[in-house]
Amino acid sequence: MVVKAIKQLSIPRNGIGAYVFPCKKITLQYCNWGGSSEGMREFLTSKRLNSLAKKYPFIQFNILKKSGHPLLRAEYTNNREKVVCVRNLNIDNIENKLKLLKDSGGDILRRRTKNDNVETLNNSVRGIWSPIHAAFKHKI
Amino acid sequence: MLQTNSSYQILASAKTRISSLASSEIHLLSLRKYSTSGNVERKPRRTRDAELLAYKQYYQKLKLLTQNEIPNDVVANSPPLITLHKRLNLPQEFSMSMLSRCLTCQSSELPNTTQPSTILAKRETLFSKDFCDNKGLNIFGKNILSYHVTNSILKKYPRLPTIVLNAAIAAYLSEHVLASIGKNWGIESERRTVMERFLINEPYDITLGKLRFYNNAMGKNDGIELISLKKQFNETKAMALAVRSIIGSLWAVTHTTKPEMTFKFIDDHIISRKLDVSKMFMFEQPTRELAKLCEREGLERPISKLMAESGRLSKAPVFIVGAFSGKEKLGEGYGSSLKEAKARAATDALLKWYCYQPTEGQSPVVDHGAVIV
Amino acid sequence: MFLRTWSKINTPYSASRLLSLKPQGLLRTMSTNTITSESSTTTNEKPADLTPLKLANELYASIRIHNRPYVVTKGDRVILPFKIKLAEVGDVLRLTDVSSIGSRNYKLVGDPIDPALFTIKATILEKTKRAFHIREVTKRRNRRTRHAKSKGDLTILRISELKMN
Repeated sequence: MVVKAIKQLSIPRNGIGAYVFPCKKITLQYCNWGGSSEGMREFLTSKRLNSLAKKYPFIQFNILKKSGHPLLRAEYTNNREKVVCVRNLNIDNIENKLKLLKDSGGDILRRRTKNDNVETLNNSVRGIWSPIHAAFKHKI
Repeated sequence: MLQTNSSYQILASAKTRISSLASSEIHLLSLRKYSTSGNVERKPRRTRDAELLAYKQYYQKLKLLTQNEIPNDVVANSPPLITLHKRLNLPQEFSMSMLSRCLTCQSSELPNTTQPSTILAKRETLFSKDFCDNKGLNIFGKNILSYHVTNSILKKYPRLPTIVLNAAIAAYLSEHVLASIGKNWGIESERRTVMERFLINEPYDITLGKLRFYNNAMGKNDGIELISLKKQFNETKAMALAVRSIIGSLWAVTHTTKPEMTFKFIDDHIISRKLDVSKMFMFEQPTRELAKLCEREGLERPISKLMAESGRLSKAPVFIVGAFSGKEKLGEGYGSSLKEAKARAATDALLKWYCYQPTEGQSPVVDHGAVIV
Repeated sequence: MFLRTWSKINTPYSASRLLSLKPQGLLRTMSTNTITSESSTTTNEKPADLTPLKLANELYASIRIHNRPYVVTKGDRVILPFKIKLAEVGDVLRLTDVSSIGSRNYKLVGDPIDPALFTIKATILEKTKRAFHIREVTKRRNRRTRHAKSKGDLTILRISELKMN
């Protein structure tokens, strides 16, 4: 055979075909004694977590009692985790933080250059401009 | 204070138990034979025996659960299983015990004894027939996967040479790819030893919702690592096994009611990945192969023509060469020498032949196979 | 027949690559920019023959979201500089404000193109943020420096479908 194959790996594209939700587990850590956990305790005893768990059955919610400030710890399918300290936050702020973690994709937040808004794996559809192939030659 | 829901799991109050026990029982069990240091905290004998008995019961229950069929009532409310089931949008018929079985590798079978020293010696003979693992499902899933992936690649690129076709299949179905799919599905592997699980009072359904590929009778910290097992069976392989068996059991569950479902699942999760087939070719003699191809297809002998050039006598010349068969231009290539440009042009023509994609609604293309030079 | 079954990939566009099909209506070729009949579809002109676009293997589209243009192909990740409030993560959006759709040699232009002619769908992958950034704001002849903190919102889409109907 004259043709030889070069090994390649296919690249994942979540969202084409199936969409797998990136956030897989959220741990809510609270302290039963500390004052900074007051909002968290209120959140846990309210019905909000119940309704969230019903709405997002693909996220596992863990509740952990541990002394110290309350934390929200979200684990993502890319094997990363994000932790937010929610000390002294009230019940609504905690819910917002929880939604923030849930909607996030787990990647590190990076600075983005301006107008770099489309990331593609495909080749250019129209081809790359070449001076030799251009229909109108530029005159000097 | 807090009520338990189906997808909640409360890990409270476990910590105190670990701290009191960790120093005594873990050390005692694992290091009994190897260490006689005085650091080990002594506890009254009766409570220790009671704890040991409780541990043995926990161990036996865990072992029993994976014999024959994993009972659905134990795993029906398992948080990791429910979330995985929902994340993958699996049908109702796909039961939790089936999903749990997909995550059980043959190598995870717990040995009969809790003595660490005897586990190593008898590792090979421990596999029993009534252990409910994913070995059969894996083989089944592998066949379905390779059938469907081959089918869809060939439908898209009917002229791929066999060697490139195999590489393309491997690009979708190799162990590493399947393992990364499994990780992206959020499958977690069990890393705790049975003792650690016992100490934090972990329910059985948590263990049964994780990927188990090592019997976990011992942890890494115990000072012994089984090298031979690690070499032949690792997390990547186990993850690939789990993914294949999930697909295998999806077929088993739905092929009578919704036969297309499994194939759609494979399309959505695996075929949807990006693969550029044209980057998988390496031609050794492109011009010669193109000549052979034209001869076989009854076309005129390909001729390379210089189409444009720039700076022939300079440091950086550019030549554009086209490969022509009669009046038809088959391919085009650039290069800093005529030879290079000619080879690129022939490669381009060959790639266009091999990577040809039929349009929708066209009658199927029957290919004569790769060119043999 | 031979050339027809020879796929068109990986070459820069050239006059010889143009299909022999004569462009009419809204459809025009890339290199013959002189044929510009960019009137809207409502006029009683003959509708464009879209077969070359339907037969194309690869398409691109210039979509507009909040009047910002993004040139996309199937499978692209689009990063929007704001948070979509009305849709949740995982929802599928249908994009209708499209100014051009094209293949290698042909493109369909409109302002916007009639949404019945194409399907472009996008999945919301995540709603995330830019990295936390502190900008120092100073005034002349003033020693005071204000530290403006910002952590802008982003919404990330994946173009899951792009085809002519």
